[in-house]
Amino acid sequence: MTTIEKRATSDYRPKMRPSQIALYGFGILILVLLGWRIYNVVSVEQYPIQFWAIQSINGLVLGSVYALIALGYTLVYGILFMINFAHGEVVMLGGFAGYFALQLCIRWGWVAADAPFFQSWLAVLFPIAVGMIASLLVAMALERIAYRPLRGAQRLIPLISAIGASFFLQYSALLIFGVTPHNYQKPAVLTGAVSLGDSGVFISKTGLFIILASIVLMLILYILVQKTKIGRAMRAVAEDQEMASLMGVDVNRIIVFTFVIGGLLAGAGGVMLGYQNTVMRFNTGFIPGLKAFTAAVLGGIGNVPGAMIGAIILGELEALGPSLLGLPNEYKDVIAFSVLIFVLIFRPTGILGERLSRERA
Amino acid sequence: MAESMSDNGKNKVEREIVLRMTDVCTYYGAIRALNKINIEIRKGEMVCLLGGNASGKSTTLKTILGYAPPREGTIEFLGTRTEKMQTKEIVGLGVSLVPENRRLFGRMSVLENLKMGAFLRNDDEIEADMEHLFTLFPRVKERLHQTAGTLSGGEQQMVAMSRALMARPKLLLMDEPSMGLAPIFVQTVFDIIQTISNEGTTIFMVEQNANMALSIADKGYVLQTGEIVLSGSAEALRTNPQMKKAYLGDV
Ligand SMILES: Nc1ncnc2c1ncn2[C@@H]1O[C@H](COP(=O)(O)OP(=O)(O)OP(=O)(O)O)[C@@H](O)[C@H]1O
Ligand SMILES: [Mg+2]
Repeated sequence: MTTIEKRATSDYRPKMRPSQIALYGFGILILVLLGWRIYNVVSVEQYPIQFWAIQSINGLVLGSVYALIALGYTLVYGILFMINFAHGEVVMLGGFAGYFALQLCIRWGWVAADAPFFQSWLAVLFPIAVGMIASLLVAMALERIAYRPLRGAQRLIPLISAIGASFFLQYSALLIFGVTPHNYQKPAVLTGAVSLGDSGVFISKTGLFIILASIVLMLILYILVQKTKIGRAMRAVAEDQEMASLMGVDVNRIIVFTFVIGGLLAGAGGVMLGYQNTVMRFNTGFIPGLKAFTAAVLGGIGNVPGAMIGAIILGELEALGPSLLGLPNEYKDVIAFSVLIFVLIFRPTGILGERLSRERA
Repeated sequence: MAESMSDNGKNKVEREIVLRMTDVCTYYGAIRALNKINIEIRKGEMVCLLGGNASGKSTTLKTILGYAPPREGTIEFLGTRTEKMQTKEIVGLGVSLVPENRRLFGRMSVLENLKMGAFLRNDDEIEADMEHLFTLFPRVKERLHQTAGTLSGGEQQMVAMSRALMARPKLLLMDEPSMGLAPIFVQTVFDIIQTISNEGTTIFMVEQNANMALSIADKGYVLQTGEIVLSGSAEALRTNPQMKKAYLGDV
């Protein structure tokens, strides 16, 4: 009887250390202050509704690119419990490969304003395909050279290798491509904007393309992971490597396959970054890589829908945050990384995370 | 121990050998977990491996599967030497495991777990095999689209057995199928194992529940701190005084 009572009371009152209470109090205080600030700014600045609509669309475009990149982080983490910190460089190299493919398209006259519709679309899709293949190869090489030899080592060791690989790739790109930015030229079909009726809200064609293409790629990924045999094997390896191999799954092949998928999405993301920002540099992948990592953590690392949701939220925060807080636009990175710190402190498992790390470590 | 006593009226002496372990020693680092193990399993037989906790029962299965490869001795599976092979190769030869604690893919549906069991198969009889399994395990059919992690322990055991059978194993390994089940359910599970055996599947089963295991097995081995201390037909073991005293409860 007494034990039951004890258990009941201890369930009723989860133990919370004073330091924890202080921490949560601090968190709530920050949220309240932010809310207050937003209220003031919004009521004073009085931006038209069109402004917020356009910013939200920009956030969606940004979020779509982050999602493509974040999926690479989350898929690899789901299987190897390792953060592939060189993933941003996979994105950047895909972007460069796409740049060179685009130069070819320019030479063939596909990018010119008067290029036929079909050629103009080829000029969009060919660089994306080339970027995807290049990133796939880089991702496979990374797995083979930087991660596979360290498999089974302590968790920190492949992480250090990943950071090393990141710097190696970044500065190799600096050596090869130089510091000068390489300018992406938009094919005719991506220039200009589409306005949504006469609401005064418009979306750039590039942005619209990025959103739609990302949706298509993510749908393909969803079908691959959920409906195919190899996708099932991937999920099996993510859950229980030993049991999966007892079913006859070649775990190494699945790991390579995971890097391949991550690479393909990263390459597409890299070229889209090129079209969106119109420049490519040796360090172009670094910040978006970190942002996408933040998005993956925000959604719950290892969780595929989580990465997509986290990416969209992060994109929106970045697009709307500075205006909401009445800060210059340069503060968007501060906002994004503050979110990372906030999530890590208050909800390390992310929005959809299932406490994977503790369960399986 | 007489090797060839009459086993439930079935005569298996002439049948081909499915698994033969000869003088197998397995180590975990410097610790020897198995010491000169000799086991022989013939086609269609049901053989059980008995023994107390930490006697090396699970290790024996891991050794067969190449998870804990032996340092000494040889293992032959249907004429192929497997002691140096990798797990996936051994699995490819036709060995399936119903592991200790079931270990289903908890976030997949029951159906997907069964499909994982048939991962290496490409034939068009997968559906038919599934239908056949449903006659053995009606509960599995009822729960086909449920997430495996939410099944009860008994249901999970049934799915784990179905999953292993989906591979059409030439040798089915089972690690303590009765563990954690209610007594009444243990009987059900053993009845099903008996049925599977009668259908011709060769079974090597690890059990702590010696009485139950010996009641359906043809042959048994008893492990103690990594050594086989007793072996023989199930009947001989059931009546062995040493066995009665140590494992069956001397009634
Ligand atoms: N991976 C391992 N590393 C080191 N020692 C191990 C390992 N696995 C098992 N052992 C040891 O080997 C011995 C035999 O273990 P095993 O799991 O085979 O026992 P068991 O007979 O299956 O026991 P139980 O009935 O409790 O499942 C034990 O002493 C165990 O601690
Ligand atoms: Mg065991």
